[in-house]
This record gives sequence, C-alpha cells and structure tokens, in this order.
Amino acid sequence: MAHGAKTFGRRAPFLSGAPVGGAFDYGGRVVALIDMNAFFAQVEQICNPSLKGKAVLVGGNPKKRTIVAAASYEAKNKGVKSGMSYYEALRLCPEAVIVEGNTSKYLDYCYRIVAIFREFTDLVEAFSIDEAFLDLTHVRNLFGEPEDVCRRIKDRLYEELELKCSVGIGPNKLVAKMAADWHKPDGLTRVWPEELPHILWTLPVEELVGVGRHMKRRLNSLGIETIGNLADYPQELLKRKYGVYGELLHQWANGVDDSEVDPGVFMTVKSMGHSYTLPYDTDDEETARQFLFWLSDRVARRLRSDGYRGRTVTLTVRNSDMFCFTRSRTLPAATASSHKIRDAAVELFRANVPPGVKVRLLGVGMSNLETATRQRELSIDSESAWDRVFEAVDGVKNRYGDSAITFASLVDRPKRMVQPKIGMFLTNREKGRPDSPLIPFAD
Amino acid sequence: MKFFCSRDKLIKNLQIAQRAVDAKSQAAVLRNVLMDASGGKLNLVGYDHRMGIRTSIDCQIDTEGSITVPCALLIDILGVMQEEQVYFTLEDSSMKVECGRSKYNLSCISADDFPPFPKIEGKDTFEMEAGVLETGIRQTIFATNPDDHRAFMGGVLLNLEKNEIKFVSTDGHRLAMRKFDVPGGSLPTQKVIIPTRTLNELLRILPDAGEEKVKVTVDVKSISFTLDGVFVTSRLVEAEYPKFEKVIPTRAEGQCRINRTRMMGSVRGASIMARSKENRDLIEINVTDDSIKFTSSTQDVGSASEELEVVKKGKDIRVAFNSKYILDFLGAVEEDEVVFDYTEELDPGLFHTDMPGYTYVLMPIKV
Repeated sequence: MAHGAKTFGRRAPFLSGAPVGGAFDYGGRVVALIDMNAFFAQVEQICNPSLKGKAVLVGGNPKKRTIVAAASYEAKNKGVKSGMSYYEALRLCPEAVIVEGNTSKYLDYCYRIVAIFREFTDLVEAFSIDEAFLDLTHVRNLFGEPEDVCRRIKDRLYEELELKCSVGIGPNKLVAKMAADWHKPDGLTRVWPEELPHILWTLPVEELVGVGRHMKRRLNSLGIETIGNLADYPQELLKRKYGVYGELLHQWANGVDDSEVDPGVFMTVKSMGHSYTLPYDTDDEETARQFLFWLSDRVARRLRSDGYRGRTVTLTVRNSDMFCFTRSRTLPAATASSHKIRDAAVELFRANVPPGVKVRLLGVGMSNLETATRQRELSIDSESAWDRVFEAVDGVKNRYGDSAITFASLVDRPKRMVQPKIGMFLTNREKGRPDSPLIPFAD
Repeated sequence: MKFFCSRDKLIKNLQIAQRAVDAKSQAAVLRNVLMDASGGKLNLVGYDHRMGIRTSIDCQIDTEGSITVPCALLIDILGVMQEEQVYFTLEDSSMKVECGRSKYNLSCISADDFPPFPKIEGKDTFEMEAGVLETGIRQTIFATNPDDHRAFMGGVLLNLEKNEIKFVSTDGHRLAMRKFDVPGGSLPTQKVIIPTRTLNELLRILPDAGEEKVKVTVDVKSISFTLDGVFVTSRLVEAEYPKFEKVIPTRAEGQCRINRTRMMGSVRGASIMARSKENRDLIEINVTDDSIKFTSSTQDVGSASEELEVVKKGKDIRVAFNSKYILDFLGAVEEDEVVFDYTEELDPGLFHTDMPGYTYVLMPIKV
C-alpha cells in the first residue's frame, strides 16, 4: 500500500528500550500535519478529468525554460521529482502531460481545504499552500481520538473536493511533519512519543527537517550519519559550531519541538499581489501599462473582497535577461481602487524601466494593509464616487462572474490575458483558452 | 529699546501671540515672539509662516525699538514675578527684564531676522459679527479632517455671496453646514477654505470679542481677521472645494423629532457598549411607530438598549451610525428638539433643528 520505502506499523508495539517520560513526555499534546499529495497535479486532474490516471507535470509556461512545480504520482513513480526541468522529466516519463500552473486555482482550493479543517479546530496553521498543522490536543473531547478526527477530515476532503492527502500525527509539529512523509500518498501515520527513538534515530540525518544538502555534509564530517548520532552528540558542541541552529537541530533530533500551532500565520494577511509572465516579451509601454492595469484591478478586487485597503504599492519586473527587481511606493492614503494602484504601478514602471528594455514578467502587490471600515462615504469628491463605482462593479462580479464587467480600456486586452476563474466548474470555459493547447480535453 | 508695561496684560497677550509661535521650529527666530515698542504701544507678533497673530497693549516707552525674545521662556519668567509693572531694557542682544526686585536677562535675536507677514494683494474686505463667525466655526469645525490627504478636508469652507454667509466642513463621512442671511448685505463673492488650526485659535480669541464686528480681509492665498486689537492672518488651504450641495438629501421618506438632551443621554449610554475593535462607537438606531431605540453590543462585553419617545412621520427605519458623529451634532446645536430625516439604511441621514440655517448630513455604517 505504501509507496515509500519506509514502513512500520500504524501502532508499533511498545518498545521496551524506549524511554518513557523525561525527554519524550510531551504533556499530552497532539498535532497533525495534513499534506496534500502532489497538490497542484491533483487539482489539475480534478479540474480536467481527462488527466486522471495520467502522468501530469505542473509548472510554468512549457514554451519557456521552467521547472516542474508538482508531478502527479503517476509521474513520480517513474522517477520524476519536483524541481526537475521539463526536459529531464519528459526523458523519464515521455507520456507526461504538461499543464501550466494557475496559482489562483490552487489558492482557492487551499481556502476550501482550510475551511474544512476549521470545522474541527480553529488552531490551523497553514505551513505552505499544500500543508497545514492542526492542533488536536483539545479536539478529543469534541470529536474523539486524533486518528478518527483525521480520518474524518480525509473523508471530507475526498468526498467534497476529491483530494487525497497524507496525515501525520505526533506529539509536536516536528514529529507530525516527519510522520506525514512516511506514508505517501493517502496515508495516515500516528507516531507515539515512545516510538520516537526507534523510528527516528535509525534514519539518515538528512531526513530530519532542517537538514539540507550542506548541513548533511557538515554533520557527516563530524561523524554524524543518523538522526540518532545527532541526538547523542553533545548539544554544547553543536551550539558552538552552528549557533542557535545547532541547538535547535539537537532538540529536533531528540524529537523536541515546543513551537505552537500558530493560527495567526493564516489569519493575518500582510500583503496581496499578482504577477504574470507576459505571453511575449515586450518593450511597448502601452502593453505593459495595460497588463499593469489588469494586475492592479485583480489586486484591488482582492483587497476589496477581503475588506482591506493598502498603502504601499510594489512593482515587480523581470526583463528578458531574467533580471528581476522590485520597487515600492507608499501612497498618501490607503486605497483599494484599481486605477489608483495602477497609477502608482505605472509611475514606478516609467521611473525604473528604461525604454527599450524587454519585459518578461510584471507583478503588482499591495502591502501596509489596513482593514477597511464599513463607515459609508459621502459622495462628495471623485474619490468617494469611485468607491461607489467599485462597490457596484464588485456587486456585478459577485453575481455574474469576474468577466461580466471590466474597465473599457481592458476590454480590448492583449490576447491570453484572461485566465480562467478558479475552480472545477470552469473546465468548459477553460477549453476556450488560447494558451492551453497542451491540455487534451475529454469532452 | 526701553519700556515698561502691565505684567498681567503682557502675559495675557503673549499667550495669544504664542498660539502662532512654533515652539518646535528648526529656526530659532520662529520660536521667538517679536516685541515692537513704538507710538505708545507694544506690539507682540507670533508667526510660523502659516499663521500669524499680532496683538498690542499700551505701554510707557522710553526708547522705541524692536527685538525677538524666546516666547515660552518670557511667559515663564513673567509668571513667577510678583509686582504689577514690568520693566524691559535692551542691552546689545540681551533683554533685561525687571519687576520689583527680580532681574532676568534673556538672549534675543534681532527683529530683522523675523519674517514679515505676507503682503495682502487683491483683497476683499468686509465686516462680520463676531457672534456669526464664532457660531459658524463652532458648528462646523469638528467635521473637518486635517489628516486626510484630500486637502479640502483640512479646513472650513467660507462661502460668501451677496447677502449670505455659509460655513461648510466635511471629513468624508459627514458634512456640516451653517448658513447665515445678511439682509441687505453687500458681501463679496468668495469661496475660501480656512485651515482648521487657524479657526481653533480664532475660537479661543472670539468669546472675548463680544458684540464687536470682525474685519475680514480675503486675499488669493491668505485671509486675515481683525478684532479687539488682535490681528490674525493665515494662509488658506490651497484646494478647490467640491460641490457640497449635491450630498445634502433633498427628500426623505421618514422623519422623527426627538428631545435633544434626552437623545444625548441615550446615545452616550448606548455607545458605552460599542467597544469592538472593528466597530468602535457603532450604534444602531431603530425607529418604529412612536419610539426610537439606540442599541449596541460587543461580544464578550455586553449590550445596551436605550429607548425614547418620538414623534414620527413616514416609514420606520433601522440604521447604524458612529455615535461620536451624532454626539458632535447634538453638542453643536442648542435647540430643545432635533429632527432626523432618513430614507434608506444606506442613504445619508439628515440632522437639523427647527431653527433654519444648520444642516448636518451623516453617512451610516453598513452592518
């Protein structure tokens, strides 16, 4: 059943050699990590059922030099890994279908997933777009044992979103994270505190969270080959060699991790932004301006629908030499108006991109966010009149979809500017996308 | 330069001039007050390039002259002195201040370094009753917002037509307007925005002016007021005031009349429980057949409900407002009864009294 090489019983028998209490007494904490397996590839397979059961590679525009961001398990089984170039991946798995990634679609799924988690506990920390920690310590009283809760979450994810995930349950975030990696895909692993030495310590040191290629080399040179070696190594020496990080690694090797599941990471939005790789490199200011307007409008709409206003506008530009830079400007007042964000972005563009430079990617972001008040404004000047306009526009978009209404100057937008709206219901509309010739549609 | 004058009068007038002295200015001379003794008068001038105040008192002059002295320091010194007469003698760049047996020396800066008031050009001059100016400012000043990036919100609009004076202010959430008729008046047609700070200082000076007339001079970039021996000049807010008339509702679908002092108590009461972070001061108003109810609630804190009898015409309504804004209105009028005109829950509410002239438009909060 398991795809990984490492397997062990879901509830390994109590190991007589393992210490009880002391270093492994976790005060009854239970933390789960839920990892959506090959998330982007799964979502693409759901949105386009013809991709089901096929090897799918998700990444950037396949015509450009980009890498695989996610591969479906069909591709992974042939040796494809995230981070490979398309060329490498296709050599290993020639039948793979390449799909260009769509962040907003994945984010939308991410929100839906987290909404399900939140039905069980409000202590949800989004660790990345496809992983989240759940603190289940006190959930026991409400929904039962952590395994049962996680099984229910797994069922809900599959029934409602058709998504599969791996779950790791442990006494803290570190162990939960490592446990989730053991049974992939679609696994559920609980690691009991007393099992830790047996499971953890025999593993090679690079399996420990936080030990990368370079750290592995350094640790190996100290004679540390397994996590057990690291756990036995004097903490003082590690601290002297690698500072605070050395101390942390030693704790982790011993299965100690006091960090809390922090829901704030998900709750507080610090910035919002959209970037877009242009379908063709351009040095035409008018084209760039139009893309910037389109991006600004998307950012502004997101700000408005989440009830924010932002003060700092950040422009990201990557030119055809792949040189990338960002420039920011702080406005006199916080805004969520598309045209105001655009004006600032265009001004930044004009001031920082010399004529003749070919632009490859543009991004517009807003930070320095504040919550918009619900106090209505008098329509005394053009600014408050615009607020009314956007309110009406948002109303239309909420009712009839994002493409129902837009600025006149964006109607005649450059080809391929429209991205399909999030979600699985749009498969048919997606068909009309001029930039998706690589996706074979079943219907 | 040598003179003596009354200590009390000097302190009082220094405190008036001090309002235009920028105690935090980088330029030392602007932290000073200009003292100019000539023609039997001691003129005291404070000026920070945006606002200037000149006031004068009688004094006995031995030798005429002018100098600038640190304003706050001089007031401190005069405050601790005991005798009625205070004697000033300028020696080189040091001012000797004597009163009874007290002797102080203050380092001064030459009057030549003190910036002159801007020249007034293309002026319109007219007179206004001090009471009109005071009421007009008092009933509108609270609805300005000098912190907004929209410059026109940083002051009160003084809109003059032949026989009508209008004071208008807005902060984007509300608009206050006070109108005075000047029968048989021949006022110049003018539309200027006076900075909130200048008006605040004027308000402090005005109650002393009593029934007097205030001489107002309007220029392209500045305005000045002369009253009771005090001359105040100020730069105007350089912005165009938007067409404010269009936000004043012209029709209403309901109206209720409420006792002002009772309403003040009820609104204050309800606002006590409006403490949530995102909806601070939000109170809901519910008008039904013969009653008006003010309610508020905050999770984990509690809730409040205050009910009053009203005389109602037209439809019922449920609407939410910022209680501070309502209290501002209730505090600005003096009549016993106030009138609240309304249309829909997201449309502006209109507050006024039976005395014509004062209009207060308030935008609701969406709940």
